[in-house]
Amino acid sequence: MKTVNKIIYVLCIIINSSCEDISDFDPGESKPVVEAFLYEGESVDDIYLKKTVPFNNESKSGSEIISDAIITISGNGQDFILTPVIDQPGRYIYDGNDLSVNIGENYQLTFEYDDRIISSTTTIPSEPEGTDISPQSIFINEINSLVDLRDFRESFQKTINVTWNNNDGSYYYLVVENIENNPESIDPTDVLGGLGINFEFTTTPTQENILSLRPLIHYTQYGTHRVTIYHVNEEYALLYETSTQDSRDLNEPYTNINNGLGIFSGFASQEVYFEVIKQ
Amino acid sequence: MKRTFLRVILIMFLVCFTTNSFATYHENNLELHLYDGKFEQDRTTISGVVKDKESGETLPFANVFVKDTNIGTTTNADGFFTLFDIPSETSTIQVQYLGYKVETLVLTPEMVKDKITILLMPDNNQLDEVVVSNDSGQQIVKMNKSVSQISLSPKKLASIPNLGEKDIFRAIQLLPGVSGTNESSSGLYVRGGTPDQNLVLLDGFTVYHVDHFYGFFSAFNSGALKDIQLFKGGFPAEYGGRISSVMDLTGKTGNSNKLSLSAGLSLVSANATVEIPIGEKANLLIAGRRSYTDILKSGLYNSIFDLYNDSNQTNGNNLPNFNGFQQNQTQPSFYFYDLNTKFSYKPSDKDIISVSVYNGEDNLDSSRENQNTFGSGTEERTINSDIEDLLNWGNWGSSVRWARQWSDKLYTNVVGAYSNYFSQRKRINDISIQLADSTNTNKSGLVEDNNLKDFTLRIHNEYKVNSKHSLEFGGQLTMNEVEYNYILNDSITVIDQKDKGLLKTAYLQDKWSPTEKLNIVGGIRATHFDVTDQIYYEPRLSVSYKVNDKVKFKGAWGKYYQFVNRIVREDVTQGSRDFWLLANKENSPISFSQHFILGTSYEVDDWLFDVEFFEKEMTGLTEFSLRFQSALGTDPNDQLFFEGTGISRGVDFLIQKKVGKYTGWLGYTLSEVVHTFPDLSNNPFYSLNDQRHEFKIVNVLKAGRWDLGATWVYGSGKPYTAPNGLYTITLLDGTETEYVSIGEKNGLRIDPYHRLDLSATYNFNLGSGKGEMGLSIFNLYNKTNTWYNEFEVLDNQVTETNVNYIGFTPSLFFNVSF
Repeated sequence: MKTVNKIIYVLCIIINSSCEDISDFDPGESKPVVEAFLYEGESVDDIYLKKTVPFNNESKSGSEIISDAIITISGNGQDFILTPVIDQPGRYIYDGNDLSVNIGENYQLTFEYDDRIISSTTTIPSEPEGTDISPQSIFINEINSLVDLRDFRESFQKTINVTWNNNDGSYYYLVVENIENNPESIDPTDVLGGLGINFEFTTTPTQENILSLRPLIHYTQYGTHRVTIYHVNEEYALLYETSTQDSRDLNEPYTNINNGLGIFSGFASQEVYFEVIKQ
Repeated sequence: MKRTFLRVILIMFLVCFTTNSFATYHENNLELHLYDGKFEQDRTTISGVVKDKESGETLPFANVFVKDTNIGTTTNADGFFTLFDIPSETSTIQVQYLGYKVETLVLTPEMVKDKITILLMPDNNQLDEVVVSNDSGQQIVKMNKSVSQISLSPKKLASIPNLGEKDIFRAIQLLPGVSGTNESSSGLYVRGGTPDQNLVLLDGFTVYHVDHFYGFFSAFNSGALKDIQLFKGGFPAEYGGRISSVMDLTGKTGNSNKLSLSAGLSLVSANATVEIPIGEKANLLIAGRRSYTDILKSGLYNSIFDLYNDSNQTNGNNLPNFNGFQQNQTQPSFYFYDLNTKFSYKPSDKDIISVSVYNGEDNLDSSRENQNTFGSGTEERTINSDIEDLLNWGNWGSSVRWARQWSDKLYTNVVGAYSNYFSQRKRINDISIQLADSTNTNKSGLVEDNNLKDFTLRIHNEYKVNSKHSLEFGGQLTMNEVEYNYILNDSITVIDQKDKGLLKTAYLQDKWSPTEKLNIVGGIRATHFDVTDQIYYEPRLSVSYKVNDKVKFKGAWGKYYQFVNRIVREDVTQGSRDFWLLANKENSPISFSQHFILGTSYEVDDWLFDVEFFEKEMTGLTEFSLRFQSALGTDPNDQLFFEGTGISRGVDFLIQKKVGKYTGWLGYTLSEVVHTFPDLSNNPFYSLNDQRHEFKIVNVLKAGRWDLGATWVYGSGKPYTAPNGLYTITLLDGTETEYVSIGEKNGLRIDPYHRLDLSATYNFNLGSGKGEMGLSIFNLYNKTNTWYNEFEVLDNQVTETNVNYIGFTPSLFFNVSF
């Protein structure tokens, strides 16, 4: 029996030491949420940190901020520490000039939260190629009455086509904005209501190579407009696609953050311009 | 590929015969004539059959051995045996079989010339109000037969407390290494494996789903069974198609001597069995069982249910409300039935032909209505949910079997089998949210249909070369047709899959006893799967070494493949479900496992101490989830199926008091099951059936005509996934979206499970028949054990429903047989 006891003892030690190391999950603890975007050629100033609000927390808010993290962006073989913006808790920027965001470069975002390393990587995609806009100017009627609105049908049929090359099914999103200092509205007497002075249109991520701009949908003012065509990574498109949560199956929104939630993604853009002229 | 396959089979057979000839020659230096199957030697060889003395039923897997020696063998599936190397023609033979008295037979020179029929008397000593003998016949289970193999006696099940029904699967769940905390599944979670990884054979056909009544009862009527063999791992090459364990059930053929009737009644169901001898050569057995809880809805059973459990509807206002979190309770209503029919015909002493048909079905209605109110004053919201939740599932199985004992040495068993598992589920949620000034309604739901057909032709041969070698070889053809259809909201087809696959299998194994102390079972199984057009080789090895009469060391190793898999459909909100799919190249990989088992046992007349360490490495595990709908522009299926690996390891401890007035056992399992699914979780996570500690005590006391039983089961909490918080993300178009965050995959644990069950059975004579009646109390101290948690998310308010297992439930039973 002594031999048997020894064997059992040795085997017990083996089995105990061979257990997997899986850390315990605390349902009361928050998970960090990252919203971080890098734009090619621009400074790094669009980095936000939040955290989840556990259900057993009395707070009703859907989000809380993390304002004391030490965030490192690594790229070009160097590490850059971001600075928290004092009057915007949860926002971080890099206030030096030596961090450049370049096409094709990989960037890593890292910080520590609750003794865990939160990290993510992204690559700055190539600039959109073959960008074009046609026509570059368009005449649009002003709407001052319901009669004008009825006659607006002709103007509505006029489109401006923004095109770009997309042979590999990449994702793009476009932002249309008026760059006049004091833009004049197509609907100055507010017949339609709610068009707003600072109207700006952002598309969903698309795998198309054309966007047809129509008045009242994509622009609401006269003057010079800038269309920024962003080449986006798949990670952002995936997040956008899962932005509607299914309550039956509670689909998890896409995240590319290790040990966290949210998104870290890079963009490269090209701009084209068009003019809206009062007819 | 097919040529290669045939070559492999041919080589296997040649290698086997060659090696066996060598082995036999060197070990025994005997003259061997394989061409005529005869084996000349000085010692005596006997052969025969073991039967039940009362019914004439043949007894499979009985131990036949020469008294006070290590010379022994086991009867085959039809009760035949051949025993070599008997020291003399007047040796004493002993036969042991669970549930029967040990039979001792002194041979005579006349006796050994012919086939010997050994009749065993059922162990009915509960009616003889005398001292209980130390006889292995009274054992309920035999646990040390070979590596990880357990035999169970259906006759003795009434001694163990139960939930209204004698249940073989529930009894097996009381053994170490088999999870005993899954009230919701009669399926066996063996050493970290899942029920689908456990091959269940009934008279040769595969049973794919073994649950009745949402899993609270098994699909088998114990009155229709005569033998149960469980392999917890390291199983031999004869068995395949599963990566965890095997349960081989043999149905009764029926009483050959007289018309026999038996009937039983419990608070759940009624059952009856009739055994009809037809002439001298044929038998017919019909056994049926049906629950009547749907008919007598307001009967005693439901009264007990309502008395000791929470009602179907609970207003969440009484429960804590943290950030919109409320709890409800629910329990299903149900009915089930099953029918076993078996016709057996013995055209000669050497041949047995049988036709076995099984049908079992369940209908379950978990529909419910809930009303929860959140907030107060002008912000008050009342959420009414009307949930229609219907489930219908069952099995059809049938087999035609021909077995022949060609000679003392060669036995053949041919089975043609058909098996069908079906499951249909419908769940529609009709929700309305009443606000101060408006009402919003929302209707959603799913329809799920799974149908699996299995056509199998199997041939199994046993060739007893001599006392040291017993060859087993055979082949199998299996055609599987599997359909799975999953529709959301009446219109969105998530999956519509129809697959077919043909498996061609050959196997060969040798039971080799080089010395009286050493037993080796080595074999190989090769399977060609037409879907992948590949051959899968599964070598197996099992070794046991008796140091002396008391101490034995044992070990096993083997590789195992599985081609039909049960996929877990992860559902955080309504509890995870599962469905069967055939392995394919796209979304359902072929599962694989490798077993390592090492153990030792110390056995004396009264007691058995046993410990087995096990490790099971698994690949090709699949999980299905709608939680990660991510890959844009790719095949929708690729977004839903996730492939991973797993490892299960642990140790089973057992102390068994085998015989005497007091019998029982104490089992403890320390184990872990870890899965790695890179696309589901950044880190490895514990699987749903991971349970660190499981402890069981089974006590059976015989007191005159009374059998008293008590079992206590404790299991540490199992993992689950839950929504655990809210967060927002601002997208580039400026929209801020609020999400519910799902916690770590299986990161939370349900509270530990434990319950105490008691039973008392009184045995009596009833004219020429016998009867038993008793009381069984399930969950004596009414522990609220959680089955799973449901979550409903509406307007970012989360309602949690703990779906609980059964509380205190007494049940009465009454059985008679003539």
